Amino acid sequence: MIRLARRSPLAGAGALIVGLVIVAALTAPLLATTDPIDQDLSVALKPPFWVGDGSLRHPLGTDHLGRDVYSRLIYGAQISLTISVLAAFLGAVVGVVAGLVAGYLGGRVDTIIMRLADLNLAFPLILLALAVVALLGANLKNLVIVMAITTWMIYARVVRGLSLGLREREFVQAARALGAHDARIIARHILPNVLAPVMVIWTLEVARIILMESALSFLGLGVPPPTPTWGRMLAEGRDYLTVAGWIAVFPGLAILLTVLGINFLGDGLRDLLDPRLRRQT
Amino acid sequence: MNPRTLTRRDALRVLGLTAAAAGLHGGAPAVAAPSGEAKIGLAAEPNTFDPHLTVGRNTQIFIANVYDGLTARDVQGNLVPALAESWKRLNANIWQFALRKGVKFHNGDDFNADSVKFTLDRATNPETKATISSELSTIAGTEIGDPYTVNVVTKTPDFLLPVRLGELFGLMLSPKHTNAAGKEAIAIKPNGTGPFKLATWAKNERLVLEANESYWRGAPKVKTIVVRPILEDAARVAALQAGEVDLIAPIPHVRIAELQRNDKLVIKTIAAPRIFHVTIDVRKPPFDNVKVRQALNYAVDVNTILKTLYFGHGTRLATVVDKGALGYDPSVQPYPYDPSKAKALLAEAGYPNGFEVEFDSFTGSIADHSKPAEAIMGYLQKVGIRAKANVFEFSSFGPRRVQNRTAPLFIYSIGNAYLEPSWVIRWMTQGGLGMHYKNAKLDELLTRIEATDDPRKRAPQYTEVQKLIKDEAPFIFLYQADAAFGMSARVDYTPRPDETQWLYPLGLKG
Amino acid sequence: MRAYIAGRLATAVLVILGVSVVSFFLTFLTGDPAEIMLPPGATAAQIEKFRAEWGFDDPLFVQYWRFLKRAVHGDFGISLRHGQQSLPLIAARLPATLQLTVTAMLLAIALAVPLGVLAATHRGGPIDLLAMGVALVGQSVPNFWLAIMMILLFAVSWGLLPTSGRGGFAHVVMPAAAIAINLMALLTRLVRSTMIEMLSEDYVRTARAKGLRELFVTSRHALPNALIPLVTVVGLQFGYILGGAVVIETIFTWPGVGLFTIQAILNRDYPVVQASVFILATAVVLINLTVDLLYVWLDPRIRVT
Repeated sequence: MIRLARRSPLAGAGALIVGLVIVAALTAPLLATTDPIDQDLSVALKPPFWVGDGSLRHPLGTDHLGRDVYSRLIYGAQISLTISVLAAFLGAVVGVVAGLVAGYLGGRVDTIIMRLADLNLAFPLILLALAVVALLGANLKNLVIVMAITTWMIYARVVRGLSLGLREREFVQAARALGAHDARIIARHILPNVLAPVMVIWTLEVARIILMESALSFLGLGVPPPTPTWGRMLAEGRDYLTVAGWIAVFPGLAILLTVLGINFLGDGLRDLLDPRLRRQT
Repeated sequence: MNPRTLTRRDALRVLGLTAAAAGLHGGAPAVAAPSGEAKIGLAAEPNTFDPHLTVGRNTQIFIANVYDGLTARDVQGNLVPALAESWKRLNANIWQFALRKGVKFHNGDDFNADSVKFTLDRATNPETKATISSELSTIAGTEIGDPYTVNVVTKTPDFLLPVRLGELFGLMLSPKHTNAAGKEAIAIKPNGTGPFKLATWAKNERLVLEANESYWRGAPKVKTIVVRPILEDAARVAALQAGEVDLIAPIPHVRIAELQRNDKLVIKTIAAPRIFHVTIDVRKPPFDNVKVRQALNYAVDVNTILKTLYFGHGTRLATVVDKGALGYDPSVQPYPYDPSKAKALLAEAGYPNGFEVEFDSFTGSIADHSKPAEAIMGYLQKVGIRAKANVFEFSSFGPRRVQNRTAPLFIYSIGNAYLEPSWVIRWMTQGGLGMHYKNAKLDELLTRIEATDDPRKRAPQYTEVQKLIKDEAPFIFLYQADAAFGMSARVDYTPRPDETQWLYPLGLKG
Repeated sequence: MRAYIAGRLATAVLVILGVSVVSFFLTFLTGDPAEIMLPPGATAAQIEKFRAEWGFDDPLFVQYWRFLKRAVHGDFGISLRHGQQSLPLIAARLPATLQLTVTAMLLAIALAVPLGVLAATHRGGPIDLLAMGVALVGQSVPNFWLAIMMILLFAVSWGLLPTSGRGGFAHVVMPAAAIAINLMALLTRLVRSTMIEMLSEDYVRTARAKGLRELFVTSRHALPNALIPLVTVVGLQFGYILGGAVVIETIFTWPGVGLFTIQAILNRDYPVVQASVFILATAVVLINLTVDLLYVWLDPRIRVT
C-alpha cells in the first residue's frame, strides 16, 4: 500500500479517501450516533452544529423527519457502496467473460456478443435503467442487476480487443500447438493479461455507477425509504434546499468526494499499470 | 319572502339570483375591453383539450377555462348555473335542464340542445373510448325538448347529475365543428364556449390563452394568459421570484413562509378538498379487529405531521369528510395522539408486542404521498407495529390497487371533486378496487342521503355517517392539505375552493 | 472498404430492429395503462371494457407484429395521453434536445481542448495540476446536484440567468453546462494524454528538431491527430449525453425528448415510449456508425478486425 502511494501519490490519495469511506461503511453502527431511520418530528430541520440552533447531538443537522444527517450519511455509505460495488463486480464478470469468449473464439460468437453490446449501448443508459426499474420495482436486487446491465459492455469491448491481440501472440500459439483446451488457454494465458486494464476500468465504473445510482434515487427509483442512500438524501434535500440546504449539500459532497477518491485511485492504478501494459503489447 | 313554504324551484331561483348578484350575469355590458398579459406557471399542463379524453385531475381543472359545462361553481364553491340557466328533477331518473340562450362557441356556432345531446352521446359512445365514461355511466340518454330544453335520462337515480354535467365532466362541444374537425384536431384546437380561446400550444413549453371577448358572462379582464408548465417545484418558485411569471400554483409548503416574507408577492391558500388517509384492509387479521384499527389512529401524531411536513398548512380531519364539504360536522372530534392508549388497545386485541405489516406508498402523483407515509410508518414503529415500506411509482401502484394486490396498509388521497361527501365515501367503501371496507348501515345512511335532493336536508344526515366511520376506523384518518397559490402584487386573483384553476376572474393591477 | 461500409450498415439495421423488439416488449411488461388513464371512479368492469376497446387484450406477438407493420410507415400509434400521433410529437421535440446536447458537446470540446493542450504543453507544472484537478472534480460531480446549485446561485441569488425553460443563450447555458461537465472532464484528460503522446512522437520531434516554433508544432502536427480520438469519444458518448439530458431537461423543464420520454414511461404511454426509444436508439446507432466511418476515413492506418 505504501509502495503504491510512493509510486503514485494520486493513487495513494485516492486509496486513502476510498479507504475512509469503506471503513465508514463497514463500521457504520459504531460511527453513527443514532439509528438512521429513527425519526423525531419535533427536531425536524435542525441545522448543523455551527449554525443557529444546531447542536452536537446532530452535528450535521436533521432532515424533514428529524433524522440525523450524519448517521444517515454514514449508513448511506454502506448502501451506496454495496450497490455500486456489487453491480460493478457483476457487470465486470459478465463483461469479461463475454469479451474473452468473443475475442478468443471470434466468428459468429464474436458477432453475436458484440451486436448485443452494441444493442445495449444504443439505449441511453438512464432511460433503460428507468424503464427496467419502473417495470421490476425498485429494490436492492433489481438495482444491482440494472446497473450491471449498464456496465458489462465496456469490459466486453476492451477485453475482446485485447483478446484478439493476445490470441496471435507466440505463447498462445504455442499452447494451442501443445493441444491445450480453449478454456484452459483463456483462463491461463489470456485472462491474467487482461486483468490489469479490467481493474482500472472497474474502479472507474464503480464511480460511474455511484453517480448513476444517485441519479436513479434522485428520480425516485432507487432503494426505497427509509433506507438512507446518498442519492435519496439528495432528492429529499432538494425540496428543502432554501430552508435546510445542509440536507442536500452533505450527501452531494459525499458523492463527490467518494467518486473523486475512486477516480484518483483508478487513475493512479492506470498510471502504474500502463508501463507494464506497454511492455506486454 | 312569501309566507308559503319554499319550493325547490324557488330555492334554485334564489341561487340563480345570488349567483347573478355575485357577478355572473349574462349579457352584461363589458366593463372595459380585456387588456394586458398575465404569465402563469403550473406544475403540469393538460394532456389534451378533448374533454372526453382527459387523463387526471390536472387536465380537468384547466380546460374548464376554454369550455363551459351546464353548471359551475362560484367562488364559495356553491353550484351555480352556467350553460344551463336552471334545472329540475322531473322524476327519479330524469333531470331537465333549461339552457341559456344566445351563447356561441368560439367559432360562431350556436350553443343549444343539439350541442348537449351531441356531447353527452359522444361521451357515452364506446367508440369514443372516453376516459371519463365511468363518471357518466349513469346516463341512459338525452332527449331534446325544444332547442333550449334537454331531458337527461339516467339508468338509476343520480342526484349528482347536475354536478357531473358541470365543469367536471359536462364540458360542451359543438356538433358541427367537432364532426368537421375530427378527434385529433379537438385535442389541440378546442372550440368551446369558455372565457378563453386556446391561441397556441407548444407542448411542455407554453400554452397561450386569449380572451373570448363575447363570453356570455362578460369578457375576462385579461387579454392574454401565457401558461408555462414548470414541473420542478424549485424552478417554478424561482420563476415567480425572478418575475418571469405572475402567478404560480402550487407552491410547495416548505416555501410558503419564505415567500410570504417577500413584499413583492402575495400568497393565498385554500383548503383543497383532497382527503389524505391510510386505507386499512379490514379483511386481513389483525385489521379485522376494530381495536387494532383504532390503535393505529391513536398511534399517529397527525397534528405534528401537519406542523412539520406541511408547515401548518393543512386541516386535521376526524374522518374522510373534508372541511368544505356539505355536512362537515366539526363536533365529530379526531382521534387524539395517544401512543400509550394505542399500545393498550393492541395488547387488548392480543398484540402486546405489536406485529409486522407491509405498507404501500408511491411517488409521482398530483400530491406528495411518500413523505407523509414515511412519517406515519415512523409513528407506527414506536408502538410496535413494524411497517415495511413498499414505494411504487404512481402508475405502477394504480393497477396494484385496482387488482387488489396492495399491502394491508396503503396511503392514498382522493380529491372530492364533487364537494359531496357521499361520493367520496361511496368510493372509499365500495368493497373492491383496493377499498374493501363495507358496512350495511353505512350504505343505508348513504342511500337515504342520496335520495334527498335538498342540500340543506342532506347536510345534517352526514353527522351520523361521520360518527359511524370514526368509530369503525376503517382508515387511519389524516388531513386535507392546503393548496398555495403565489402571485406578484400586480395580479388580482382569488383561487377557488375546489381544485379548479379558474382563470376568468384573474385581473391585473396597474 | 465498400464491403466494410455495407457490413456496418447491415449490422446497424439489425441493431435497430433489436431495439424495436426490446422497447416493445419492455414497455409492455411495465403494466397496464388502463388503470392510470381512467378516473378513480372506474369499476373493474369498466377497466376491462376500456382495455378491450384499445386492444390491450390481444397476445403479445400479435401486438408486436401490428406495431412493426405500422412502424414501417412511420405510424407509432396515437399517444394514449395526448391524443395525437406519437412520432410527430417526438419529432417536434427533437430540435430542443439537439439544441441542448449539441451545445453541451460544443461547450465541452471548447473547454476541454484548450485546457487539455495547456496541460499537455505545461506537463508537470502547476497549470497541469490545476487542469487535472478541475477535470477530476468535473468527472466526479453529480450533474443534477450541480444543476440545482447553479440555479440557486445564478438564477435565484444573483438573478443573472433565467431559472428554466427553453430559449437563447441565457436559457441554454446552465443546462448545457450541467450536461457538459462530465464530458468536458473526460475530454480534457483525453486531449491531454493524446497530446502528450503526440508531442513525443517521432515526427513531432523531427519538427522540433527542425527548429519550428512550439505553437506551430502543436497546432499543425500534434493537435489534428489528437482530435481523432476526441471525435470518436464524443460520438460514442452521445448515448451517455442523451441520458444526462434526460435528468437535466426535467430540472430545467427543457421541452426536449428526454423529458417527454420520462413522462411517457411514468404514464405508461406505450406509443410514445416506443417511438421515443426507437428514435433515440436509432440516433445513437447512426452516430456510432458515422463515428466509425469517420474514424476509418481520418486514420487509414486503422483497420477494424
